[in-house]
Amino acid sequence: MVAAERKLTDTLPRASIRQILDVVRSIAAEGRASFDEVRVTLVRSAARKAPASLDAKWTTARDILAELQRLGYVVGDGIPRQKAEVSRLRLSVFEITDTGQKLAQKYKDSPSYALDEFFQVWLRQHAYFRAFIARLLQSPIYVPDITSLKELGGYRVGQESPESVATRVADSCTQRLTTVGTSGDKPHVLTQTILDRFAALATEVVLASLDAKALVDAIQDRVVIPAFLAAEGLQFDGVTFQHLVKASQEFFVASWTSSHPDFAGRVIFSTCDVEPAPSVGDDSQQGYHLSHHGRSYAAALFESALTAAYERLARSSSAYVSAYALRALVCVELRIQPLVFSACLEHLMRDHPEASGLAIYTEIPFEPPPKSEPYVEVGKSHSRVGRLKISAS
Amino acid sequence: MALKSDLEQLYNLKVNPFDPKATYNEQKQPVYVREMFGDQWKDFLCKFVVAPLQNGHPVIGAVWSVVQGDPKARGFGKSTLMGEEAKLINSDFGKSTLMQLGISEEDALENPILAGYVSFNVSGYGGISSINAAAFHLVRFLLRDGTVHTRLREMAAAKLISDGKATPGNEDVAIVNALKERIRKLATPIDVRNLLDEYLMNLASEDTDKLEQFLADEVGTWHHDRNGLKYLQIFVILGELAGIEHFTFFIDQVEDFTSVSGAGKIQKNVKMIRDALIESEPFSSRASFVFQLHPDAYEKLRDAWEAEELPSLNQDDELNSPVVVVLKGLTQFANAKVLAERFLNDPKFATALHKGITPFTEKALQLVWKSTKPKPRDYLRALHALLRLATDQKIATIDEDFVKPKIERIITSVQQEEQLDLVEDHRLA
Repeated sequence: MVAAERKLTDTLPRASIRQILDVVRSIAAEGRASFDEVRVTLVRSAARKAPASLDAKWTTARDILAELQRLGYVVGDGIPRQKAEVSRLRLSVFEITDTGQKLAQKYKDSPSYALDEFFQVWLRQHAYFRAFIARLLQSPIYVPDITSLKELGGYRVGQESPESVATRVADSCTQRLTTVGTSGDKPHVLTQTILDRFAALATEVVLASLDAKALVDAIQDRVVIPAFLAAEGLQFDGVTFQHLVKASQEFFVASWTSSHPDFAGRVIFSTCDVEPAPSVGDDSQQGYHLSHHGRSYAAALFESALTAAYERLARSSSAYVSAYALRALVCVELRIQPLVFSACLEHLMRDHPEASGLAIYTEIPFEPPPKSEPYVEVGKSHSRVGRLKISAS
Repeated sequence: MALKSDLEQLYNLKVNPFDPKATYNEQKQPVYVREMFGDQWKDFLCKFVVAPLQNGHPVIGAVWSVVQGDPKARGFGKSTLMGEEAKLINSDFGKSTLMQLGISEEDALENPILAGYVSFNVSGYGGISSINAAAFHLVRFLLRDGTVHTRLREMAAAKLISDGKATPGNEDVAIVNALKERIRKLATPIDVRNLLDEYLMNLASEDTDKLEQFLADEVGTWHHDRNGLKYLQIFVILGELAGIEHFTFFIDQVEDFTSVSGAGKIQKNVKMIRDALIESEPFSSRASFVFQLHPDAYEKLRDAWEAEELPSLNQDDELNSPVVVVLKGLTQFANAKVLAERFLNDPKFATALHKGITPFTEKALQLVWKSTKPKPRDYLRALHALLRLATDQKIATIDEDFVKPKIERIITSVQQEEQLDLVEDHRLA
């Protein structure tokens, strides 16, 4: 049976890890801060500026303060639970604790160490995060996303019955998962859940009334992702899943790619080792040892992984291959971050070309990377690479 | 009388001779300095011009610029080399070019040659994005010289008269008849009607302006995008009639074609390269085609190229060295110095009073060259920036002391570099 026996519950703040730590640091600066000061800090640091208003970012401030209270980094009362309460509780004060002060200092002195420490706190305190990391450390997670109607084999909106579309979706997802060796109950659970959820969706919405984008969104968010999570035995919803993926990336403990040549969808993979392996149960007192797969880890393995990946993609010709696909293969194989890939590639090309005996030729990209993936960049000038060719020098 | 500019007062220069972009424009290239390529210009001409004459077989070749680990290996002068050498060849049907490569004057005169240059571009309607469009514009290039057509016609007419197929005064008709006869004998004859018939008439006439006007005004984009190859075929047949031994056609910016073409269009155009350019007359016996390639373009062509069994143009396969030139750029300071000197003393830019490499000192030029090598484009851009700065600051001599504190910033702006921020994050270490 794939599904976990016990029902997990957890609440994750809808905020980035950086936002949480920025708030800790801002409260620590004066020792205390009001709800509104925290909200304003978040508005000012936001990459995408919210419209100026007295309650912009109030939900993020609410989630972060609740999280920090729960973890013992701040104390205080009066977090607004509804928008109507924001005005009344604007001046509620929150004070930093000693633990919070230490974390803020560490974040100021060495952000990466603070993020590692916070990762461990999350691993102990958030059951969903622990379950996600535990699963990820076992093997890569393949997410059979549906991002276009093309993936449904030529389906045309409004010309097929819901049952037929559901079968197409199930077939598309299971076939892709089968190609990467997914076995056991997972394909069966996935298929059954897709069919059940599609039937439920069809009773709520007239599918023929949706345009292509709305239909794809509905299939992806309400059918495929919940079905995939059920098959993986992960007991959280799609939004939480997205949030966990993002948090893991911020901690540099995981990464994902949709450029992997073996799988049309997202491949999410860990980029660290954690000892002992986290368990799904209550681990709130457990200490962990975290080892990132950085440049020193990858150094000895990178050249052979790169060469093997290149030979696979070039298929015995001396072709230039997609740098995105090459990076995906190497990163998943070695479980390294794209930034580590770039650093290792740079090292091999510039610092040790003679030692490696490899001639690496690169070409600028004529196509952007898949959405949300960074360019492959090398060198101090961040030169972008779109294609790459390796030969013996 | 206009006031003297700061440039003239300070340096005896009419304008800044270095282009801020330093990209090739076939119709505006002010100065061509062959020496910037070291000996590679000879290698280039030997492979793509002399070898086909010597072996009797045209070639399909490629010009590359690739540097290990540098995805931006551009600005090495490939376009300049192809476009400007083609112009030089056309100026005297290759006589001086062949003689500079060690061929006797007699042999050079007996083996007249022509060359064409075209660059793919994706400027929407009227852009050059297919083999047909490229072929049509190769004809336009050949006519742009202003004298090639007249001389070709004269040679064709003289030959027909000496063969007894024409009499003085009726050369036009005789040339048209000779062209049509040759076209009829092609394995795949060209259907010469309407615009093509008119083209034939204009080609046989001695009025080059009228021919050019016809091609510019009467032959529309829609038509030449579908029939461009026929225009080039007919032009080559005229060359054949006139005794031209070989044509070399340079096709630039192939990546502009591949970046906007789907697999179907690429397949169709590559098929045309094989069927029309390589395997059919009049090209198969006397026309070489040389492509300017970059990895992305080559990889996008690869499947179609291999499917059509066209010869490999891989730059790092030594078996291809007879048909591939990989430009190395400014590897020697002497070449860089000559490049700067020729720009600084060209009459378009310098007054008669200008001498040598002033206002630059040799050490200053050396510093710029070291900082930008091997890319001539970066070198010329840096010289432009330094001269502009010096003029603004009214500095009489651009020496090492002037260049040193600025060169890093200039190179950064020239290459648009940013600093790497892979900072001390222990998680990536």
